Amino acid sequence: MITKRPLLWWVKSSNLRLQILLLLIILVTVAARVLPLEMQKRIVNQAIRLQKLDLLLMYCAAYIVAILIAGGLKFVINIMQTRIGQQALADMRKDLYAHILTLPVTFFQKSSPGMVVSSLVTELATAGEFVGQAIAVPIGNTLTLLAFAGYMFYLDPLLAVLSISTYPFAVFLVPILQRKSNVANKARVDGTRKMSSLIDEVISGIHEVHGNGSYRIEERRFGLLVDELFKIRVVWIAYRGAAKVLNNFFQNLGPFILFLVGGYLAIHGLFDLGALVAFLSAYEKLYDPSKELMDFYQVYQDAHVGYARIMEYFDLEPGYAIEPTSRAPIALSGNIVASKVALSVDGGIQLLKQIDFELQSGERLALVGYSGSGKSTLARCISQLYPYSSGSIRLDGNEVSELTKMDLAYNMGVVSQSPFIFDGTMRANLLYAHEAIREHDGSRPDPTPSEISGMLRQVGLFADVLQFGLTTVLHAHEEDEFVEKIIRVRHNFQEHFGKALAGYFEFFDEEKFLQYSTTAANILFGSPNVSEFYADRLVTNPGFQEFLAEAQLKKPLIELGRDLAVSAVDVLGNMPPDEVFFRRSPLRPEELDLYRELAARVEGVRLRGIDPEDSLRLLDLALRYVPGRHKMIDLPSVVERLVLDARDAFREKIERERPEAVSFYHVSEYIHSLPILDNILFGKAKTDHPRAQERIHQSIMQFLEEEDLIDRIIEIGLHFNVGSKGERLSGGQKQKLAIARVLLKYPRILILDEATSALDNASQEQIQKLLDTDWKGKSTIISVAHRLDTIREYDRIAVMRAGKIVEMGTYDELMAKEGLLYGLIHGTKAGMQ
Amino acid sequence: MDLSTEPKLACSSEYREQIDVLMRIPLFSVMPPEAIKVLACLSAREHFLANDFLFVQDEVDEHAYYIMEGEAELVLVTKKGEDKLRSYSQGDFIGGFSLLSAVKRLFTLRAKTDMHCLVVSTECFQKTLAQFPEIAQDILREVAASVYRWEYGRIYGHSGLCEECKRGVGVTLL
Repeated sequence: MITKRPLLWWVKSSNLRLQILLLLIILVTVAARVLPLEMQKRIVNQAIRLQKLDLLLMYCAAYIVAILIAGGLKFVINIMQTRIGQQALADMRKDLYAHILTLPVTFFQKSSPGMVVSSLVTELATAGEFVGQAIAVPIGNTLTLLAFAGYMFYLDPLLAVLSISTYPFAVFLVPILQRKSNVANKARVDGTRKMSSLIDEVISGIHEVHGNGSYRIEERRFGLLVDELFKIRVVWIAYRGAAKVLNNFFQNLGPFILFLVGGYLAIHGLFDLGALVAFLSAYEKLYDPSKELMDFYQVYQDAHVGYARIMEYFDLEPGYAIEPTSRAPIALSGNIVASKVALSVDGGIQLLKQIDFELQSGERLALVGYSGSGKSTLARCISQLYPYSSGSIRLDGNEVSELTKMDLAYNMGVVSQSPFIFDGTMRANLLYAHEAIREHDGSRPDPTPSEISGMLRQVGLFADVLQFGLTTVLHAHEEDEFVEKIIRVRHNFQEHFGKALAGYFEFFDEEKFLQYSTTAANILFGSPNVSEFYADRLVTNPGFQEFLAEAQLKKPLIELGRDLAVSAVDVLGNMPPDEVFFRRSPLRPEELDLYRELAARVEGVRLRGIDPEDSLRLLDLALRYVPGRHKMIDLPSVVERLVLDARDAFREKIERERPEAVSFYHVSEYIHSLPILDNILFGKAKTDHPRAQERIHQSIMQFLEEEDLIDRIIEIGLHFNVGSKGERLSGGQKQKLAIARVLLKYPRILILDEATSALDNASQEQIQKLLDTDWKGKSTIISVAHRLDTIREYDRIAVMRAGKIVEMGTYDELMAKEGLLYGLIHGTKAGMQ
Repeated sequence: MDLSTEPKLACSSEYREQIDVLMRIPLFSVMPPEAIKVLACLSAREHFLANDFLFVQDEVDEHAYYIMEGEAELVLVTKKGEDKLRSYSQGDFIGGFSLLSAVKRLFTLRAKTDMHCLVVSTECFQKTLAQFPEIAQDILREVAASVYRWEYGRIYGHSGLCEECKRGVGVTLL
């Protein structure tokens, strides 16, 4: 298990060939580092003193070559070191992540995601860095150190001893400081962790903070941790700094002795000048390797502390083996026998006691009872999410605690109370459970498109996915046939419903001012392909401004903008910046302050008195104006007329100058920058009313079916990205998706833990009907029921109280008995949760 | 802000008409002019085609409707079939209750002819109300009064109470 590996294991298991190569290169580098010293001596003693130019050139050449080689090799060493280190880091991350994923669910109830994140993302990095340096740095630098020291001894043993005499002090004192710094570092790691856990916790519960207005409490809690960490960091950095300063001091003591003693010897002719120069150089060069050794020691300490902490934290056996070693995953028939199952947790609290039941393959059991009665806990024990403490649960005679996770994944589907949806497409989420099995068993066939769309219908997601498909913007190279069909649907829709739906809908009509499109869209009458013609950029596009002036539109639009600003500020001026208040105004909530001041400045002022920046803002407002929606102001007839003229002029201008910039609307052409639905409608809905929108929707559905387009659109809709945690889906959609994703792997055992709690009645009934008919007998079902009207058809109903099954039988039996179930249903006892 | 309901000169006639309509509806008439102006700005004129639904039994609908033109009929769908309960026409205001809290409709409202309605959504109403907390009490009183008026009309109306209906009275006692 990864958590048992010591840090050095990673050094041993790193690429050994690369490490040996690294060592060889280091040896060459050490030689290349010493050579210049000898050259220095010879240049002074031989070339300069004897005034031999050829010698000078030769030694200088040797010098520069040695330096180049040393520099080049240093770079190579760096790269190799990094490669080894990063490789180790990548392996550590992968292995640790794989280990963390297998840890029991109970572990994660105690630890926060923030801990896992900071462990994997930041804290492991130092350990990786250490592995990279573990061989090259200590050996390379020690060798360099020894080589320089050896060279110094070769020059003059006495001087060498004197100048190195300070080192033992450093070697003694520095580690003392280092140890103190390590203690502080440990505290820092802990402090940082506490802080990230707290941030994680508060951000996950941010709705509670907002709901309770507990900002101060959270600020204080965070503040305490920050202050604590602040103190720890100051101490830590102080110790680190002190170690560095001390090291530097001893380092600089050397030359002092050298000058004193060496100078004295040189004056008396006992030591030649060249040797002194080489000595000084050698001494100075001692600094680098010794510093690198010190730094390495630091990295080692940090890595050691950090690594140990991480591994200690996650040092926990996985609850279950992931896959069987010597056999294929079991194929179960779905028979479940529980006998004397009990679960107790810390403090001797018994969550489950003496649970006995038996289900034949295909039978269905409903668990009902008060909140806290243990029904969800029991469901979790059966699905290995919780380990039971005693008793036995057997699936076809196999004890659940001895089965591997893969055995269960093959045979069991679990839908939890709050299912998690992953970032990705609808399709990827639908096939998530299926793919998990396919990872192990590549021969398992993928569900066919009709199987998938059938499942969508069964759980009631079909209309949603269709809607996702319809709102998709197609890539420019979508097959022509599809696009042609869409255009045909557009024609049919206009032809058959154009008149009937006129009250709900406005088609793009070249001859008319579109009441439900912006002024800008009315001028463009097309969709822009380049950014400077995007709606939000038009007002800052100098070419477009010029065009507006030429078309005589600028002044009337600024005037319209002023009316819009003044009236919006008059009515909405005191409202908070909530989107709801601004739906029927071209103003955006965040612009209210800006336009409030602007309105005060421009009200009643003559146009030429308005400064250019304000004019631009007013123009911007007028270009966003949608007469059909922003009804506080009528569309001035002069604007209407001029815009229609401008539309033609703009088209001519663009077609002449930059034909690629805008795709103009044409009733027989597909508009690639708009969603499929908008392409079909080729116009804008006049209404937000759900009933009216549904009516429009129904009308186009008929034509889509005629053209046989539904399957294709579903396919497109399946590529809809659901967002992180499925944020772009509603609660009901998420739950339906979770049910569909489990059913698509056709499990023999199905565990439903209040699986339909977020659904409306109709959807709930639909799912129940599905389970009562199509799925009946195919899977053994254990359902934790939150609504008692869904359980009538179950083979057995177990009423739970305080961790025990207190009543079990068919619906009719239990009702006839007038016991607890009867009480629950008729509300004579306290109701369900 | 201009405190009168008279909007600035530039405002459209349609907007003014919406203000007038809202002021005529008892539920809104207790609101101060600024609130009415906001609400008038946020309400939408919707068009409904004959035979289309405005809302449907058992479904949540978060709107109230003032009929500006056309007629609608209220239908109760039972196992036996459709029960046409009554008709609404120009000037009628339907669904004020759902502005206070979104509820599942107990009836279906279907357009008999093409209709024009002024539609106020629950969301807009509630958000506006939140900006004028002092009027919440007046609104509450008006709601109670309207329930009272309704039951009073039931009991002392020209047709009187049928025997069967007597058992169903007492909504003001809730």
